[in-house]
Amino acid sequence: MTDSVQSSAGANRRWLGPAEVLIGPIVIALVVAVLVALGVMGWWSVRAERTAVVAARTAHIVSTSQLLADSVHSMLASGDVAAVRRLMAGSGQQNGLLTCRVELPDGSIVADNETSRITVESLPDKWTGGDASGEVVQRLDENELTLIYPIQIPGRGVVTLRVGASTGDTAQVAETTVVVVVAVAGLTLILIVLLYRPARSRVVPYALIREALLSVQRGEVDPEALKVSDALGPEARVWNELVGKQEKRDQDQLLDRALESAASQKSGAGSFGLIGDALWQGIVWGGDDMRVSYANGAAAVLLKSSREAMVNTDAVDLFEDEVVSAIREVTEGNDSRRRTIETDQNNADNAEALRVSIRATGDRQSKTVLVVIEDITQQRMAEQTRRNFVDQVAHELRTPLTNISLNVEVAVDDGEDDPELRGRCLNVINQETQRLTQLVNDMLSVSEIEAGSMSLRHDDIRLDAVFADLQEDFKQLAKEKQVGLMFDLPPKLPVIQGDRDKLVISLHNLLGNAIKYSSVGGEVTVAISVEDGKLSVAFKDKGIGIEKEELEKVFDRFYRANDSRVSQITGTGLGLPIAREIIRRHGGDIIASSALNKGSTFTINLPYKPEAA
Amino acid sequence: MQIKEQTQGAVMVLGPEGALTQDDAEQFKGRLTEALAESSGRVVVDLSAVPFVDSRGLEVLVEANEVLIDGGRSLKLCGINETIREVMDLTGLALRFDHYDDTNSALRSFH
Repeated sequence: MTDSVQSSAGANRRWLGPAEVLIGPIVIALVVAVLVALGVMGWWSVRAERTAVVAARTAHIVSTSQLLADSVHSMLASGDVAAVRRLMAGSGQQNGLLTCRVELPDGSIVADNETSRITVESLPDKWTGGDASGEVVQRLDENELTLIYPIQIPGRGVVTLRVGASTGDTAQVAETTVVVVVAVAGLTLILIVLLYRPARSRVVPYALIREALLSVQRGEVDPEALKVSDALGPEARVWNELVGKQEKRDQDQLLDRALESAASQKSGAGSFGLIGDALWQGIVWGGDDMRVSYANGAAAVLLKSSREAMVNTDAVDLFEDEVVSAIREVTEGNDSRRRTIETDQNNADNAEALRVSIRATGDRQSKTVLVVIEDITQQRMAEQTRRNFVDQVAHELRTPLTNISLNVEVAVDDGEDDPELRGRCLNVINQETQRLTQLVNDMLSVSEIEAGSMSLRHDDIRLDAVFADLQEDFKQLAKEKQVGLMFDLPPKLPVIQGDRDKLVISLHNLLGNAIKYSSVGGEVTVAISVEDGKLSVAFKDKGIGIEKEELEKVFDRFYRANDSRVSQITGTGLGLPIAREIIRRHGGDIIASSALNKGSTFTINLPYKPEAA
Repeated sequence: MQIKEQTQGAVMVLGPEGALTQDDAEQFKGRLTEALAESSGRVVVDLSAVPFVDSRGLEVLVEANEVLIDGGRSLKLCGINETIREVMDLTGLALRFDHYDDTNSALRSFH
């Protein structure tokens, strides 16, 4: 459905592209103009042709009729009626006359081209009536011309010669002209169609450029969106060059603004000031009056002040007492050794550590002091973490090793004669060995994460199989701890992409914790939901819970909650940080919520790409 | 725009998610400014979830960098994709920032 909509939309775009929008109205107007011009020309030609044909035919009929009138006059004057009748019949046939008749004033017909119409046998001797004026009457009705000649027959009276003739077949003339006009119109249209393609290809660049200009008016600012294909011709290339130049100008302006901003913020301390500002260590330089002569930007940042405010300020107002004493000793004494002091600045927001080095400069007459300040907060924290790590590792290794050592001793000394005791000892040794293996594996994972060398495979992970295995793996442990383990699975689980082994480690760590921190007779629920490309796995227990303040800390390495019940349960404090890092590397996160003594819920939220239908 | 935040020791890692353009860039500027003040400049900007940066987004990064440059440091960026790198190369801004492949490498630079 969607495809067909897209393809029809694509077809519309193809047929009503920018070029069509631009030249379409012109082409339609041109076609209409050509057709109207040809129509008017055809109508005018037909009219002129008809007029000419009628005029020529009328002239012919008039001259023929005049001759007939003269002949009738002479023939009837001599009384030769038969000759008149032959003349009428012959002339009517030869000249294509419709009517050719000689009548008496009373309407009786003396002669006619149709002999059957004759109503008198012979000409009377004398009669009266008729038009004696001799004026010829000419009438044109439709396509028929009628001429009436009054002829005076000496001694007898007036007869009338009536000649009727068609003015000609003008319909045929019109038909020929229409055929010619239609043919010319057809050829013109074919020519327009043939010329359309080359004209369109010439117009396309202009049309696209016009569209780009209109999109600028609508607020488009991305230069890439304004460019057109170079393949459209030289106009397109020139346009792209202009857009490129404008883009470059914008970027230059941006850079200039940034540089101006940087320049305006720097003090005018000359090249020394520039060098000082390039250092990430803070530098404060002062005289023996304990007042600051120069401070670089880093010093201002580290001492939470500004360069302008620091200059001429007493060192007492800037540094802690210990540092002030050291500065005083340096300025007053002759000691030119470097003094280094590490200070902790604890404030409401955070704790910061600075290393301050003080050294005398200048000579005995004009003694000056250089104070170099380094930010060692992160180093401190890293060192503290490392120390904690070593302590924890030592502690975690010592416990199982002590247990192993003791049980080996008991098994060797007393187990020889007591197979049951030996079995118990070996069982403990086995459990402690597994614990050591788990600890070493966790430490290796942490080390990988720390070093940034943890790589992820891209497996197809069948979640139904993963959760079935998980259920199987923890069935025994839950049974031993008498904890009810429930899995709330949707009817269908997707296949997702990721590192199967590492995701299984995360699930194991979270479920292992949920069971571990549940009381006997407790309940653990694993609820999985799948929605719009997001997988959510919630591990909910009704165990000892975590205090609100400690919720985020449980994701720190080796962190164990400050609860006596926790310290009774073995654990490395590495499971949660490893699980969270693995899920984060997969683009998701783990969220913890808990209420003390009521239980905790750890939820994995993991985005995944739904399989193509 | 979602901005993922993590505190690693004394360093704050800001991870904007989505294109850093116009209004989103303004929103990110607000958070970045706060983070720089809170952590005395110990900030890493993780751009691994940012597909594209427009001129406003670049300005925000440049402005933050200028503040840090005053203190002798520069903004530490990580996870930059090829598109953003090209934009920075073209504008000549690439050399003004500290670049790292991932967050851990950027964090180690504070030691």
